[in-house]
Amino acid sequence: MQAISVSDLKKTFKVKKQGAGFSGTLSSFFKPDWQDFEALRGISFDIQRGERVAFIGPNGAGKSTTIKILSGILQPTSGEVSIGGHVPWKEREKLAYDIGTVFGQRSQLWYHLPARDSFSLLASAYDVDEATFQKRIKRLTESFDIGELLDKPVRQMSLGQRMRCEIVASFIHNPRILFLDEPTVGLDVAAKSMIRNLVYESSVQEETTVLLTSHDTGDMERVCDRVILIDEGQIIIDGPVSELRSRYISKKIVSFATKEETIALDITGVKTLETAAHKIVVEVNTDAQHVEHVIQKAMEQSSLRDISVEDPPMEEVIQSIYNKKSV
Amino acid sequence: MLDGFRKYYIFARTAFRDHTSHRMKLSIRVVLCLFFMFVFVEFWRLIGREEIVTLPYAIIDICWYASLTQMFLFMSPRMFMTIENDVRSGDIAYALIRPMPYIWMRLSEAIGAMTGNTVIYYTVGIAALYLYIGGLPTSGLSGLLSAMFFLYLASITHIFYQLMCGVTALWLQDGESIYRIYQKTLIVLGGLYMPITLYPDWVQTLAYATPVSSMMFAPAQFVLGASSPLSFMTVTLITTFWLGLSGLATLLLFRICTRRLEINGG
Repeated sequence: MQAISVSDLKKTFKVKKQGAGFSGTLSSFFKPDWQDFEALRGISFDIQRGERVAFIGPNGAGKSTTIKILSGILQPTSGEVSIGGHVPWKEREKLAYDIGTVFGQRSQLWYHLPARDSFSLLASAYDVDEATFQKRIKRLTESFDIGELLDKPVRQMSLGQRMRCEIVASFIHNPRILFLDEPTVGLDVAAKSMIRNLVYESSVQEETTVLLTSHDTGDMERVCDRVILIDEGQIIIDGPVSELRSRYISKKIVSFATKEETIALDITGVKTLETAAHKIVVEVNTDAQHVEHVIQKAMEQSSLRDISVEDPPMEEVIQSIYNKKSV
Repeated sequence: MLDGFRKYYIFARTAFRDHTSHRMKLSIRVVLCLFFMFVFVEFWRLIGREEIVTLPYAIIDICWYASLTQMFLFMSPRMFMTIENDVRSGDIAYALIRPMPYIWMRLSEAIGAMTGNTVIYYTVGIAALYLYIGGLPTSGLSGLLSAMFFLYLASITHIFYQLMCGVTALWLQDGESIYRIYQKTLIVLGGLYMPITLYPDWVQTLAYATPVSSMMFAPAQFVLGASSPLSFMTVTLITTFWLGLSGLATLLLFRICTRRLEINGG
């Protein structure tokens, strides 16, 4: 069952170009120079119910613009969008019952009031009756471990605590679709991990469709099954997260712990990344060399105590894709 | 229908609670308001004592008038700032996608906060004025209560204008400069410092043609005693007219501005 359908979506912003200095300001005031900036250049994709999709790309790629069009905040220049059968910018209030949003570093909680008051306020905004609200808040409090935060004013919470409450606030009306716009930005490692697990588990339990934008590839790996990579307003890649490494990067990182103090691996397609006593780490270009051959060569020179073969970090994979595109 | 209103009532109630929980901020504003009121009371007492000009009103009445108009300015929360902050911080992204119009949500919050202010200013402020001025206006308690009632209604019109200034930030990213223009008009043509009946004729005509005179002068003139130029019925009509028209204008402007919305920061 289709949850989101996007077809040939375009968005052009008008940007005023202003010259430097006083004369530039004066000239811009009397004769403004408006230029078109194409944030989205005709993107299309479909998302099925319960799918968790990462929408990633560099700054200015068009991620947030897409999310804002899908949630009904912005109107596109052209194209079609259907979210659960609704056109977001035309039926914003009807759509609101179906979607939940979390915008990192933005807040929907009342700053001076306890989180419980904001939850109650949101429940009334979304027409959630008292009994359902109490049942839901009890479950969310347990899932997100916010029992101690319910009666704490939001201004006294850490960023990680606040983000957990922000996500709970987005779940109050039990949305079928969740838009997460950089939900882990600014969080420490432990808080990021907790948020990722909670979003994933909630999505699995409730069969919530998730569309997540993030600069952090960890969010994508831990939460999502599918990735849409966007750059300069166009989709570059749309496929399973698991295939991203194998399809778009031909590198392996091989680490050897050796009995000899040093060994040399001067082989075509192999680059030494790190050497230390009894240790060498190399990067193998799998287009030019088999990993098996590199291990064999190392074994000819030394008795190996340990070997590990790893994929490069996902950040490097993404960077490599951006670089290939720019070449 | 009732369920729809219940949502707005809950937003107003929460805003009331939130607003009245900031005791220090509220106390400072009340003290500041009292200070301004006492300055104007002394100012008009001096004019009366020195007989600088011949006034058609009793000094005690004009002291009440100038104090109530000051109170009016202090009673409304600065809603244009809230909307501008929503736009600048990007928090408006959350508020716009709720199943209720953003502008009515902010209006109900403003009414909630203003009601909190009204309770405080109408008790502490009026009691302090009574003691300082040394009695009720010559129109008595009925004149004072009429003024207080219409000032409360006029404050809702004032909120509409603040909302209009705020929503222009959705389009121009700046609502404050527009508010400043509105505020200066309100102060001069609304009759903050003196009843507009003391202005030259052409300024009076101009003031009567604008909504701002219905917001301060029309309600506060009930304390001017027998000389008050507008009847209860006239004030009821002009207050209702401008309240309705301002509400419609706010809704229209909000619709125009949301169509032009560009969210800051992508």
